[in-house]
Amino acid sequence: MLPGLIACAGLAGAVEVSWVGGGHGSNPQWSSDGAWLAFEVNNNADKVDLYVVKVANGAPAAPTRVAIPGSSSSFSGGGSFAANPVWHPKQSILIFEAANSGGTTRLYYFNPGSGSPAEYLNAAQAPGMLAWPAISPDGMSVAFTSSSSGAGDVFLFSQQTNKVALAFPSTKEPENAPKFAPDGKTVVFSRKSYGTEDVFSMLPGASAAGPVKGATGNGDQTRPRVAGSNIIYFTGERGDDRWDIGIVPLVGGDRRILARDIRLPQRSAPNLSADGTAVLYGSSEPARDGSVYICKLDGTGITEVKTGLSAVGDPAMISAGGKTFLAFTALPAAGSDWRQLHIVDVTGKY
Amino acid sequence: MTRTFLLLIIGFSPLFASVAYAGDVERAEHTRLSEEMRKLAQRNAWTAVEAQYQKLEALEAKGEVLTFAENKLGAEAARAIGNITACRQRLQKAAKIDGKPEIISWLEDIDKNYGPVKVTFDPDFAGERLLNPAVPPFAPDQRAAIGWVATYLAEGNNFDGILPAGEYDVSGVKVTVAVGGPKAVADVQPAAGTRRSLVHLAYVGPRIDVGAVVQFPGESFEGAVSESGLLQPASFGGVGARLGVGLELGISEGFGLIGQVGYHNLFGDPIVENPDSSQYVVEPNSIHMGYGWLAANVRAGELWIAAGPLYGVGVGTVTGLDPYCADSGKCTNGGDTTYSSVDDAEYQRLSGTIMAGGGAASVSYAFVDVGSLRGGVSVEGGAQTDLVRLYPWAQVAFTLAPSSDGGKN
Repeated sequence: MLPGLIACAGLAGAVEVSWVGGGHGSNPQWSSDGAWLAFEVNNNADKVDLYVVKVANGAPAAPTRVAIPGSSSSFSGGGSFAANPVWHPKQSILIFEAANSGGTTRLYYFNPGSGSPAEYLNAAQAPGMLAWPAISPDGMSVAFTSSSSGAGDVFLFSQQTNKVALAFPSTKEPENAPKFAPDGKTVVFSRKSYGTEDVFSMLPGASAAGPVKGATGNGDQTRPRVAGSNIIYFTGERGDDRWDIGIVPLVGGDRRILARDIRLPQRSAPNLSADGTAVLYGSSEPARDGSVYICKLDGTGITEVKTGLSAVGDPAMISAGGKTFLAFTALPAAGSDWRQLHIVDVTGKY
Repeated sequence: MTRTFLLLIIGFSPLFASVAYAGDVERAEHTRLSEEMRKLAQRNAWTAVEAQYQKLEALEAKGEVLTFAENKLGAEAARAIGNITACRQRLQKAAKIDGKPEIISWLEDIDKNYGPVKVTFDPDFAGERLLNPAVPPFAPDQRAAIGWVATYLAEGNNFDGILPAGEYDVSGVKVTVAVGGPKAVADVQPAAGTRRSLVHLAYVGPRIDVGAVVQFPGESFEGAVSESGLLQPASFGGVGARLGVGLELGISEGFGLIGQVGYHNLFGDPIVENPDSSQYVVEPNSIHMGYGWLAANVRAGELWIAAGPLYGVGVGTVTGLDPYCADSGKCTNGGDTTYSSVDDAEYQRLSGTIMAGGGAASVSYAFVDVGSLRGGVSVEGGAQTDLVRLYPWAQVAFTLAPSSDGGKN
């Protein structure tokens, strides 16, 4: 049973983040201190760019495109790719996946405001195509997928040992979207098999990863994230490109649907509210797609944050300096334009 | 004398650094290397990018001018392999071409996260040369920097540069690197009872000075000729060559001792007013002298200053009689013969031995690596005396000497 709508917050003063060259904005991700926002721009020109923008009290500065070495304008044209930013939980630094035109996707490190990105793991440490970075809560480990051992396996990099190792024995099925649990040891991810995708977990002390009971079955169950003692994930089990948000206990169990017909984000896992007790989403239903929805994980209710825009998606929230800010992408309420990125102060509104 | 000087210059010309003028060949190679470097960078082949950049640096030494993008790419390559000192130098070169905020902030980021450190291992240290951070950094450039230095140390080198700020264990020696200094020092000593010798030289190697020299032995000291009563030549001068070969021992990286033996010559035209070529053939003056030089050498970076005593023994042939002998007619050749003629004094040709002691000093600027040695340009000068007159000289030389760190850095 879905939680009922119990609150509605009006929204005023959303600030638009502007960048040069147009393109659809997506996947905004806040730094842990709320001082930076990373997001992707796809201008339908065979490339995806990554931008970072400094945000002071909800006001964005001019965004900066994050150009990996060899991809600056004088060196390459279209086809480059930089996406999937993941911020360090304790510092304003991020890693992301990127590739030059025709090149191999690798992980990159970037410290906004200082220098250019650098390859996070070199080919000697981690060969192959790398993607889906995730940083452990203590910042000492990074999980990612690599093509080096097969169809795509989850690897762990230990900052302490400077070594990379398989998170669990390699399989012939491709694995995606690993995320750490708050204990820093449990890893959840999705595995594709027989045309569908299911949620798996690798628990501490286990010799192999196993499917999470309740988060498998028809359609795709993908991009899991651990929230407390539960896993939330996107599920397409109803088919027809209709997406819901499901929740199951981390150890497996009965699956509940938190939200139906959500607007599936381009790349991210379900984003949580600043206090981690609710999941954020936009709706794919035209009549409801002008709001951000903040749904309590325990099913006690939903807060609707009206934006006055349409096709709202990719919501991300941060609390910093006593304030809470919400970033999201949306199309204008009327007319046509690129999907723009917006920031709004939602302090005390949910 | 002018002709002699020119011949000397031509003879020694290979010793002088060639002036850098890039040509079409260098420009074409520059373009090729630059393109190659860009393609390699797109594939994250950073070791190869580094190699290409070093080739560009070689072209730069020939007069090619590297661009902002090339220096930035060189900095990215150095960062990827962990050579942050080189990374910083290349960023500074890029910033001089175009002080873009991204470069300035990158430099600031290095300065905010790295600190100076000097790691030395006693030559008697027989353990494993290790560098381990207490908490490995997250940033890949910092991890690479630590890895690069760790490898460098493990290869038997000492290190003087920058590392990410933090605590380190250097083969059991704890050291804390702080942003902005002071320079952290880790001096790793051998375990108790394992020291093999008491003294270790910081460097040792050949010291070679070769170049052109001018010398102008002056008038005889007042009374020196009259007291001895021996024939002496008038003052003379000329140019020549000076070659010294020896050994330099580094007591420390900043101080060494030089022992050198060498050969010094002089050729010059005698000064004859209104020469009467119908009666006399005026032949050039010449000196051929061997010498020994002991010196203390202070090294401040690339500037080396050496000074010490000098003693030379040689032979000389000079045209022209000392004024006292010419005027008095009382000089002898050491025997009973008195030479009293004064009419042809300026044509008199004297030969004899010279034994002269004194001192010499040298100021050198080292600017090039020659194998494990350093090469530089030196200005040297000295003066010797045989108690009859002073033999001052000055030399411009090319100097080869061992590197201050023994070629380890």
